[in-house]
Amino acid sequence: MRKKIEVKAVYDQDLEQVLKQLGIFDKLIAGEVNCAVCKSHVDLDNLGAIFPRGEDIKVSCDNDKCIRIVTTEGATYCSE
Amino acid sequence: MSDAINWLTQWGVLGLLAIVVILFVIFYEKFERPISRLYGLLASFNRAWQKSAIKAEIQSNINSFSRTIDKEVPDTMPYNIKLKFVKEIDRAELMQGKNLVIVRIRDRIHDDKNIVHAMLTFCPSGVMPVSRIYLDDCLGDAVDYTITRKLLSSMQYQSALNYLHKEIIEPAIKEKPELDKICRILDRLDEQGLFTKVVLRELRDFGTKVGSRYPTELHKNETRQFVSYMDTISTRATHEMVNTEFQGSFISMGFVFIGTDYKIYQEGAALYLRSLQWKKSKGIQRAYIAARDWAIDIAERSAYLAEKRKLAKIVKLTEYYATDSSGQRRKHIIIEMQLIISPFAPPEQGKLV
Repeated sequence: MRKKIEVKAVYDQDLEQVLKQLGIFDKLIAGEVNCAVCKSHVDLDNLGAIFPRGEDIKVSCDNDKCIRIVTTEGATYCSE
Repeated sequence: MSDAINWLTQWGVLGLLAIVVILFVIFYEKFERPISRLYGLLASFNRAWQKSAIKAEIQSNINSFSRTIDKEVPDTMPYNIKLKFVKEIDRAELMQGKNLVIVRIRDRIHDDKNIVHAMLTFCPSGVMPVSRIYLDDCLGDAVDYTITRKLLSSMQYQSALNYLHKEIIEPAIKEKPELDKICRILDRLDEQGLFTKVVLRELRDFGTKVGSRYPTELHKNETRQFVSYMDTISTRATHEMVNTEFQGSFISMGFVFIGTDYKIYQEGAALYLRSLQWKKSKGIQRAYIAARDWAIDIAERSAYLAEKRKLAKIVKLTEYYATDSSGQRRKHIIIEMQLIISPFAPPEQGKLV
């Protein structure tokens, strides 16, 4: 058996629920959230990834470059 | 055999079912694609199946592709991807997973985007994991784009290929113009069959040789120079004299091209054996004997004689069809020879072909 790299994902239809659980849905709707990498404005349409940084929860836009920067910093980990 | 029949009659359908379950668990990877097709059929009935269909499709496509590449060049794509959907997560749980990132997967109408993003997210940890930190940033990106393009081409997924080019590669090139040049080089090498057979192989071993040393500009320079050398090799005209050796601090390899007909008539394989001997005396660790069409026999004979005379060891012999620099599709052979046995030689070393 080959080792696996686990990539955690949220499906479009569960996105609202997950954002509410994390307490960032209202901020996102109010337009108060920016991409942690390119600083562009992030809304429900262009949200690409969610991740913790320090004591905060950050998001990135759906630009491939931003997602890759966020994920290569350690999104994935190996498991048997 | 009679024991097996006795056992089956004793346990009947239950026993058979147990065997099927065990086989399913052991060979789960082989069942990934049919499972994804099944979910695809059921997807229109239920939302949960829709999610499972997306997950199974992405996993089966990426995993079967990565297994193919890893079979060709072991340890270049040693992992499978496992997509795990999160539905309920609280803040504390997310904060606990220090390196956790939750990637968004869109609805089925965006399948092309999903596979591209999933693959590009997987690539930095899934493609050449050992060498990755020593690669130049542009080269790392170009390798990922080339690998992703290969995956999408193998799936004949035109809309995803368009998305990759228009929405991802083109904007990336605008930011880093150098990326365009490297992507073109890797594309040309892939067209000629040298991307996986030589470039990935050498870069994989580069990581192993560097070991766990602190990544420096020296490492990145060497990988950049290696790709530039491979470009010179792939664009050389027939009978053009180019330097066929690359000797860096960690990458040490060369080519022996077979195909100068009048030389073959005069000297046969002896000329190429001398070339291997010359490379070995210069400390080149690995040589690739390359030939096409009618010269394939001479290439095989040269490799056989080199091994017989203990000049080198055959590591891998691959015959394939590829497009040459004039655009013609021709039969090629590439024979990887280990000239100097080193502790960092590829894991296939020693297997006789």
